[in-house]
Amino acid sequence: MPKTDDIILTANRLDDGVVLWMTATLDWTTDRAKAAKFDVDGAAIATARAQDDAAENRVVSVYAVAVNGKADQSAREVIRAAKGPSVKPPVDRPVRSSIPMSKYFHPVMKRAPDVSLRSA
Amino acid sequence: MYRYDQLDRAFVKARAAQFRNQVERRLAGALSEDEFKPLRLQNGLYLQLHAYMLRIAIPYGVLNAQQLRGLAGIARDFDRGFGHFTTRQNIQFNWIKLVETPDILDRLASFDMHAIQTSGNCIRNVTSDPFAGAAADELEDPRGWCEIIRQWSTLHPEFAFLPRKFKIAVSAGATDRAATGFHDIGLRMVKNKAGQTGFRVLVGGGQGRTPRVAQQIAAFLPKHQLLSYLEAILRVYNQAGRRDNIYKARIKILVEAMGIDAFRDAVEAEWDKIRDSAIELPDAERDRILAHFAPVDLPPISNSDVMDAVAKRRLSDRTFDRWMTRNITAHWHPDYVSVMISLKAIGRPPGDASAHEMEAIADIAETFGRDEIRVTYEQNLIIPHIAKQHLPAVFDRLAALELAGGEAGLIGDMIACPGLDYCNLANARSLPLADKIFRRFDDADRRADIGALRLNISGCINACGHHHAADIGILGVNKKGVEHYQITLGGRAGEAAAVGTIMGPSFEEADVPAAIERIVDTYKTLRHNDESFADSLTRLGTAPFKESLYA
Repeated sequence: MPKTDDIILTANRLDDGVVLWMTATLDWTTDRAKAAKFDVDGAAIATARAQDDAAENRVVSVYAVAVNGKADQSAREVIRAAKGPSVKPPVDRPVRSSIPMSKYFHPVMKRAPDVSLRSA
Repeated sequence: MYRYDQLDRAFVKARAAQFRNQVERRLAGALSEDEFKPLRLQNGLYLQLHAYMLRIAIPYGVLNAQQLRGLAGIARDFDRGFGHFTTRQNIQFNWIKLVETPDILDRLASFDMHAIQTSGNCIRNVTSDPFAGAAADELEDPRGWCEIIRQWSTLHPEFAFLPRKFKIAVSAGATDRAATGFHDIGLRMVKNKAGQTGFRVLVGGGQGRTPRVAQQIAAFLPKHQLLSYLEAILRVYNQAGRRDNIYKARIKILVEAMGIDAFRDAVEAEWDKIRDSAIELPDAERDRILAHFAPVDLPPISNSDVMDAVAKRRLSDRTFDRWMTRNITAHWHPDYVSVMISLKAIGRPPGDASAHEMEAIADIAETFGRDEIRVTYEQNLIIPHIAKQHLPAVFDRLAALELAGGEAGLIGDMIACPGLDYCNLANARSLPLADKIFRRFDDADRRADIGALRLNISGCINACGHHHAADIGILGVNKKGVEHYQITLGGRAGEAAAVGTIMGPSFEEADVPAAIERIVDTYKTLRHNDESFADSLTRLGTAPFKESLYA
């Protein structure tokens, strides 16, 4: 029976769309280097946790990436891990709009990027 | 241009409030992603590779200075200081937060804009000639009819869940500058033998994985019957279009399956039921909308001293002369022109503009134009109604922004989709390849010598970069996990629209610029005098180009 590839799990945070990877503690990180590799047994548990987090509206668009030197090193995953395009967008001058930021600024956005999405 | 009234403003604000409530319910868990997705898509919000992406409607590509400044403010306050102008004459922001989207929609509503129907299986933003109302060769301004279609199609209860997305383009120039042949419905304004203006109606065009050029369904449709005829086409499509296979759901597949004659018969039968009904606008309402697009009042200006100075500068300043040659378009008024601002340059992703660039362009439009900016299908901007004597001043301002270097219609003026750098659907990157090709032809004299050449790049078969409709088309594909690029030749978007022909096996990215250069060199060797690339290709066929490509 051929060996099944280890996987990493990735998703987007629901409220701001930021790309996340699952860690060894089954939490989420914005740092690709902290993503955990899961073997077959671990993958079942991690996938279940990821699906729970999606069902509980913490993350969206969960998918697994095989750690086989191809899928995980594809241009798509490399660009995603780099958190930006491989080209340089035009740079704005550092001036602020005269229109003030919204009074509706959502409190969840004040969170540090790597803090757990789940309540204690 | 069209100005919102109280009803329009109330509608857009109500829609923004509705979406705020939907977002709050999603964040609170009252809506699942499956329930929420169609709602966010109908408000232009996608989830892309890095974040949410918001596509904002720019109806038929027309903005005023306040709106362009407003978009700049959104770029700065809610995104990363830039936006991307698209081939549907819209703008996209790539780093949007779901929680901030309701605030963005409120902000948009404050300057009479929205993101309604920029996604989803509905009638999308109507596109048109970016020179409308300014072109020297148009029968009449098509924007009034675009606005009528926009109002008819916005939240049309029957067409909110079509089998697939639906795109309409309107062109009124002697030259088709709206790619009507590649739309679900293309409308060309024409005159009949009695001298009346109406529409030649095309149907079933589109790109994607099954590219098709639209076919004529009506040679002449009287203007006052436009809405009932569109409604009849949409009804037939809505009823008979396939919903079992997303890849076969566009109207082009239905038209092909039925045949144009049978499709026309079905539309005529439906039309008989609704022709001249209440679907048509009352004359007064039609006239009210069309009145927003009355010709701009442009006084004659003849300052021979200034024009002499312009002519002298052309002789002494090659960059200015090139800009005058490529980026200035004739106006119906002999003392005025339209100025094309190229968003193409080495180091600039095609169609991208920073917030401060948008603000500066808004200033120029306000100071030297008539407070109007147009977005082009080719991902550039246009300021219409510029007095010829102001051209040096406009050029100097654009040059200070480094926006005076690109040339319209030459090889550097590439259309490119966001590709794998941003898009969830893409197989390959478009933007870095566009840059590499531009660098390969980094010589303005050489680009001018090559002449008119449209080169378009799509990062996947969905063809958002319109590669099918280019002299040289490049399609990104995934070959065993590696980005490759297939080359097509002979596509055309305007008159005699045509789908490009695939040349053969794909190339790795590093080999593409040299491959393009071999095609161009073959053209330069074989062309007759000032024959364009497209005309050489028509005369010679693809064989010599293919031979050089795989030599």
